[in-house]
Amino acid sequence: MTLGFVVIGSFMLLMMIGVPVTIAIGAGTVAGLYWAGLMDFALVFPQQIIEGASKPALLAIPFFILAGNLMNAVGMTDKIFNFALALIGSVRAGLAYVNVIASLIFAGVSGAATADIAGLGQIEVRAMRERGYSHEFAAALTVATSLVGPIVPPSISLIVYAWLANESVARLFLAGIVPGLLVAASFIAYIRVMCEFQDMPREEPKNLTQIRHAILDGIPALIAPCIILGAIIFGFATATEAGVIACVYTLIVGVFYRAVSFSMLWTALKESALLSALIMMIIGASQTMGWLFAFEQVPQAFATGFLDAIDSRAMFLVFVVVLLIVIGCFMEATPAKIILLPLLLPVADAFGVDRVQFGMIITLALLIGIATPPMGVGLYLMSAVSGVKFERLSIAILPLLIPPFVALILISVFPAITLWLPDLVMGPAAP
Amino acid sequence: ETWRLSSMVSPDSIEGQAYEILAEKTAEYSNGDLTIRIFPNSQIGEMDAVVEQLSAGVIQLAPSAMTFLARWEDNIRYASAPFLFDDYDHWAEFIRGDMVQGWLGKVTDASGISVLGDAPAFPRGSFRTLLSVDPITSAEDIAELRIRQFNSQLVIDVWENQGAEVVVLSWGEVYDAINRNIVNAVTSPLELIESTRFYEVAPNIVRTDEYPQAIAFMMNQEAFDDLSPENQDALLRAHADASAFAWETVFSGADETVERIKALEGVTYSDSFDTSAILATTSEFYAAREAAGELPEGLMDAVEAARESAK
Amino acid sequence: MKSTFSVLGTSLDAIAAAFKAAIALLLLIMLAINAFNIASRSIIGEAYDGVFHWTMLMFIWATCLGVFVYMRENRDVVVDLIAARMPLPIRKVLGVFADMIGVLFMYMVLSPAIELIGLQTGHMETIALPIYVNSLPLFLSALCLVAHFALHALQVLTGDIEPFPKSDPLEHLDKGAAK
Ligand code: NA
Ligand code: NA
Repeated sequence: MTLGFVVIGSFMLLMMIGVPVTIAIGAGTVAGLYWAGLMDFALVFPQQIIEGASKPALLAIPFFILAGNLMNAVGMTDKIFNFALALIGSVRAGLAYVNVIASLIFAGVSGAATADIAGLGQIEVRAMRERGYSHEFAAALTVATSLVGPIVPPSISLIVYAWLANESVARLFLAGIVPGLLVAASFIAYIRVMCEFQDMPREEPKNLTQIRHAILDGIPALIAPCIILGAIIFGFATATEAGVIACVYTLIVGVFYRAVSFSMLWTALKESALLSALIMMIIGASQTMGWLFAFEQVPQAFATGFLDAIDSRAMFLVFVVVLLIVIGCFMEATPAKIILLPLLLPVADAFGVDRVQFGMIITLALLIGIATPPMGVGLYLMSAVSGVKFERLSIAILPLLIPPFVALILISVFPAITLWLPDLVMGPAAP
Repeated sequence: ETWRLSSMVSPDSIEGQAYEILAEKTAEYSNGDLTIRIFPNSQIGEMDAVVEQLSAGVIQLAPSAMTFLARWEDNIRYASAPFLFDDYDHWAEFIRGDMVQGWLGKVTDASGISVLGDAPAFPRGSFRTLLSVDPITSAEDIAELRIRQFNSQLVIDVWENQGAEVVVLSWGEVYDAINRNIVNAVTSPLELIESTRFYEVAPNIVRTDEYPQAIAFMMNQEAFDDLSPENQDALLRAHADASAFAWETVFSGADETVERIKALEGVTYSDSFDTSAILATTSEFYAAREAAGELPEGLMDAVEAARESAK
Repeated sequence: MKSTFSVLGTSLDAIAAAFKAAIALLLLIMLAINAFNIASRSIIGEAYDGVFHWTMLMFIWATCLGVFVYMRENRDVVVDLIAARMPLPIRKVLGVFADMIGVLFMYMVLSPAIELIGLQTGHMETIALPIYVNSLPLFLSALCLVAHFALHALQVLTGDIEPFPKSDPLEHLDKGAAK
């Protein structure tokens, strides 16, 4: 447990005095190795950085980023958002709603919130900024809404949980649908309430001709997301390949619009490769920190330190939520689950918490950790993607954590939110 | 003294339970002098990283398939050559034979990794099965499959030789990949069918006996040499106990496992699938490789010798 | 002294430019071979498993080479909330300290290089290359970064570079990532 404080403490200190985040994560881990007397094991540094950067699930990231850059460059992004705005009309904060819905629709594309932030994120932030939203709000909303992805099926996150908890994957997938909608709805409600207190951009009312134009104009652009979704849902392509298809399609449309030049393509390639390197290196450095925590059993120490004192179901759930948000700040969701579930599941069983519901609680709690300052990896990524200063993003995200947090509380208190749909479709779980 | 053991599986699997027994018995036999800390579910890395940590002395034990040592001795991948061995005994004789033990010796020289105890004594699973979306009734059906395999060129070649299209995926991606029709079949030891839930998406199961599987307790040899003779003995006895538990649980439990799987709704299970056509084409495949000088020298003779001594 | 710095700086910039071109090219190749594979699978029903493995390898290379480029271009995420508000002498101390921490981290990455390469001389399963080719670009980048941090520290000390300058985040967006 002390080791955990040493690592996180040195990391935060270094970051606050201006050491670049990638370096600060690595140096915090070095401090931890030194503290634990493991300096002979420096081998794990290059090894785990490479291991962190070589996850098949993350291979989609460079292609999503490239697709985003290309779509911006050929003007496809504007057309998609014009289309969405034509449908939504002159509602205040229309584009903010579109941002929420986009994450919900694209939840099927990747189970990884980091991929959503990297790919869809830069398109959303740019579109919102051009429509007069504050840069910080646009970036923060995009990070927050990306949390929907791994809850809504398909989701690698839920598959991992299903194995660890010996639950049906199909049941967990069904169980994720209502909570996913609930999180999305909570964002929509939040934006609606915000409109009462704050001046949010409103689109000019459009006449029918303009709407028709926006829709007709948007159709070729809209085919791109349809191809991506279709390719994935119908098994034509993996998430990575769907990103590839989106790039190729955008290039073809770009040629059609006469918007593709060699220098534009080359710039897009350079910027995309660089940005994906930055993202992957932050993930790689965190992997090394995660390795040290796993090796020295830090999360277990935190959990067991408190578990003894817990004597009620409500207290247990509060503890789990807090623990996982904290752990989610500095560890990837998958290793965090692998390490903690063997410890938490028996206790959850003892307090009569349904394992499917429990899966939803810990998945969402770990996700919120990604977006929680000062250590959420999603915030570093968005700061790199959008150029919004990390500290300003950290402040802007705080109110936006309320909706998913409220959803998390509702999911914890009312088992039916999670269990109603799977019970309806598959029948109640066998005892 | 504390040894660290990296395990790929969860603590409640048969394998995981056997590791717990190893840890308990080691502590008992060494009077608490040697303890084993288990890191389940690949917590501290995937096997390729783990063997490096093992060689560097970061950890001391990593039980798994010995084919993960292939980077130090190419030939060792033939320890799980598909459709080359008649049954478990035949395969066990091959593993205990001079050829494989010689390969392992080379690995130890190059990496400092050795194998604790007798590997075939600790089975990983009773037999291998094939799960598919569409029912499989004959060898021709195999040619229609898009099958998931792990990253092993030998295994890929053998299945492609059957006409199947092979897609390499990590274990964690398989369920989703079947669900999205990226692959429509996967091979698995019987014991993992229930925990992976692959039957939910690929409900047609046949027994194939593709190759027998055992757990080699890969170990940092220097760490073992540094143990006192008493602790070395404690570790070996504990390994024997854990092996006995695994043997008993795997082989006597197989029938029950099959019954439970048969009882699952929508699942079909067959242990009478005729593999003779597969065996015939694979045997041609190995013969062609032998003729082309692509097999380790003397491999087919060693396989034959093991077959004789197993009888 | 100044001219030595500028020669070194120009060399590092040239290496960074070369790396940047290399990672763009890698991404282009990744895109091309995957597009080809998808087309081949849907048109003639033939897919190549090697494509996935090569894509993965190039992705790792691009990540590892890219780390030097983004550090050289000062594109890493930096919290200068406190540092940028300090008087120049303190900013200098913090700037040099950050560089030293950078060197320390790169030392930790580089020190086990020989040992790790020694463990990875076997070839990969599906690509006929030694396993260590995965990590060579990381070591290459780390070497360049040691030079970069050392030079940066010296330039901060001599006043060539002003550490933690005031910057406009919106300006960064327009010339940077999202464009
Ligand atoms: Na969004
Ligand atoms: Na999803």
